Order: sequence, then C-alpha cells, then structure tokens
Amino acid sequence: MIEAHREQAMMLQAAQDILEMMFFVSPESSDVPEPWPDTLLTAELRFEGVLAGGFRIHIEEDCARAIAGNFSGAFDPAEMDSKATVGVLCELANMVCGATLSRLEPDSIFNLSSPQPVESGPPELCDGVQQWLRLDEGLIGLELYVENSA
Amino acid sequence: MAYRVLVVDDSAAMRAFIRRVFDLSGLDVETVFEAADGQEAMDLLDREWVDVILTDINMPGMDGEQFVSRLAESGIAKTTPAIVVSTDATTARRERMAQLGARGYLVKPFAPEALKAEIERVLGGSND
Repeated sequence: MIEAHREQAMMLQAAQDILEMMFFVSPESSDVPEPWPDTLLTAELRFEGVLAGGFRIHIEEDCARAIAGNFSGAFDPAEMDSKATVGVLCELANMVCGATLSRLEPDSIFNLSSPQPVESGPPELCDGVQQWLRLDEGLIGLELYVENSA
Repeated sequence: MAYRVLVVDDSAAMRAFIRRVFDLSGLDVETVFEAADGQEAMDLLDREWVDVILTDINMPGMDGEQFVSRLAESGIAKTTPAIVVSTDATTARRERMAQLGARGYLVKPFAPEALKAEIERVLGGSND
C-alpha cells in the first residue's frame, strides 16, 4: 500500500524539477480532468525493486509537441514529427518515474523498463496515485501504481 | 582541448538532448559518438578512441551496469572514464556504479553547466 499524498507530492516535485530544468516550462498542479481528454498521448514503463509496478504519463498532443520542441531545441513545435514527439514523451516518462522512485525509496535500487507508447485511457487504479499538471499548452497526467512491495 | 565523447543511451531523444547540452555548456567537443546500448558502445570502442563516456543505466541488451563492468574488465576504464547519467539519485545506486568502475555520476535533471563540470572533473582526475 502506498501513501497517496506522499507519492503525489513527490511525483509533482520530480515532474516540476524535470520540466523546468530540461523542458524549460513551469507547470502548475491541476485537478484530474473530467471528462477524460480525448487527445492524449500515453507512454508506460514498468519498474522493479522494493516496490514493483508501473508508471504512465499522459500528455495532450499539442502540449507534447510543444515540450518535445523545447527539449529538442526546435524553434517551431510543428517541426516535431510524431516519432520524435513520442520519443521525448517516453524519455520524460523515464525521468519522472526514476526521479519519483528515488525520492520515495532513497536507499533502494530500481530497474526500469524502456518506456513504450500505449493506448490512452482512464486509469484503473488499484493501489496507485495520479497527479495532473497544467501548462499553457495543455495537460500532463502522471500515474504511479504499485502491484506489490517487498 | 577538444573532446571526443561517447553517449550511450537507448533513448534517441536523450542522446540528441545531450548533444544540444554540449553546445549550450560551452564545452569544446570535437566529436560525439552515439550508441543505443552497452554492446553497441563496446563495438564502437573497438574502432574509435574517445576521451570520456556518458552512459545511461536502464537499457535493453547490455545495460549500464554490465557496460561499466565490461569497461573495467577490458582495461578501457583505466584510460577512458565513464560518467553515469541517470534519474536514479539514490546513494545505493551511486555506490554500486562506483564499485563497478564508474568515475562520475550525474543525476537527471541537470543543467548544462553541471554536465560540463562533471566531464572536466573526471578528465582532470584522469590526468593526475
């Protein structure tokens, strides 16, 4: 069982640090969108260690292109094709998940799988948390779920 | 001195970002080689000489731990330092990678100045 408030706070802090330093944007915390947005790109990865589970990131398409452009140094987000945008989305998933787990379990080692794009959809949370962020360009959703703990 | 650098990361986006960071940092880089995993990096090191290696940890195929171990076993680590670039900020991971032979460690997210400083630190140390 993970502590939702602690996980949410650490996931938010990790994402804000990464987005500010490497994507040059300053996101604010946001409520869970209702209804579920229909223009989301989603990437997912698995992690194993003292906690095992998964992490998903959801980003509205326009927002994904904008931050991918920032990360890659493209002056115009329209320069970012779908493959490059998804590649940046997967790297963002990797960084936020790794940084969050380091904060949650600072004395443990985790192994992370390579993030993969997946079909987007509302989470089916059993033992997990969501945190949403808002940028001018759109929403970013973070979702961490734990399936078992050592 | 212009450096020859090898970047080992399965993410093409991250490899491209590091290339961009070299430009932003003001580090004098002559050539950037890229590899998507440890084996590809070992193959490249058979053909090319580099000053410093930046490597991710979690990669399919030969991962960062295996790669850093191979660098030590092959003797390459004696002359070419490896810096781990990872989101994993834990002391346990840092110590493990150092035990395997990594000479530097940089936690993502990082500023361009931090990458430059870490490269200069390990290369300065290698000339002691």
